[in-house]
Amino acid sequence: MKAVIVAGVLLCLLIGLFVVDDIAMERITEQMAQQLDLVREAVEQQGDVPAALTATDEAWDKASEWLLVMANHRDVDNVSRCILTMRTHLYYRQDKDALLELETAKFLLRDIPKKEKLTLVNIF
Amino acid sequence: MIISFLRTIILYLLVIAAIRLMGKRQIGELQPSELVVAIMISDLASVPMSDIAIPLSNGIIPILTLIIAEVLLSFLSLKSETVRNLLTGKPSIVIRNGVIDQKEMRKSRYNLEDLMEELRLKDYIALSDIFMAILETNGELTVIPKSDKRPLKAEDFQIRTPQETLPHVIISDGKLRKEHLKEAGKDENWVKKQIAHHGASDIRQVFIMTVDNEQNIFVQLKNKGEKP
Repeated sequence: MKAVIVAGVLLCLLIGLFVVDDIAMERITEQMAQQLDLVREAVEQQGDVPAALTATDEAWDKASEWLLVMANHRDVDNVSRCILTMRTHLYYRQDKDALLELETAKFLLRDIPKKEKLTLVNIF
Repeated sequence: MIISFLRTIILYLLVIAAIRLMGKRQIGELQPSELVVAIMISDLASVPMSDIAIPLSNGIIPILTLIIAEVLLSFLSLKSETVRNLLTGKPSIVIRNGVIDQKEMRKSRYNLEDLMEELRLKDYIALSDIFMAILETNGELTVIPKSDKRPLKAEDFQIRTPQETLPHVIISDGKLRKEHLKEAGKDENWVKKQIAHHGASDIRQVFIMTVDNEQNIFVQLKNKGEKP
């Protein structure tokens, strides 16, 4: 009977964890995508790009810590790579290439929670 | 490298907990669902151990899910005969009143060679000696021989024998087991007297000491050279 109660409690905890994980992942990736949008605005409107990049790095450091616990590390590494490449392009004033990498980073970010969503495609 | 080490420790402890929750049965006695779960758990644990790019939760959550499913299903099968039959099936009587039930054999996909092999493994050579044979849900064959072919028992000679009980382990690897000492109704002074008969001056010199309800005592000292 003890085992059944433990199993029941574990099941409730897991369900709670799934809900929290889903919400947290959506929030983190969306916040990061919005941060990248700020970088894009800074580049397009000739604003303070270095400040936007610094803020992006800080935001990504925090976001990636959480994402590494929940998502596949390779997916997170891909986003890191895009952000790093974007920085490099901006350093060499290759704005178009930088924006391309930025959009790729955003796409990959938004793809992370999609892979964890409860859909038939993901199940099968 | 230390990450792999720590992940292995975590997953190992989790697998141990999973196997403990599944209950006290040897591999050969597991029901089909339990065997499947055991194999899956070991496979699931090995993936995040070797690939540190995969989050540890990808190993932990499936293992926990299997434990939960196994415990809940085994609870349901305890309460419901229908669920039990669905999960484990029913035992099949393959020899009934000395006659092989060919229909049951076909239903269980159990061929004659399998049957003869199992009978030989249980020291029955002649089919004519068997009254009943039951193919259990875990694949084991239970054999009931004919009454004149079974091993003799004391009651066949109307001999009354005292009931055997489990011996109490009083000392285990140099440590006194106080709870067993209490169950045996003895005290430390008695233990010291008994081990002195065997040449030990200290409990720590004793590897094992047991006593049963008939006051039969078994003492074995630690090997010479081993630290007490």
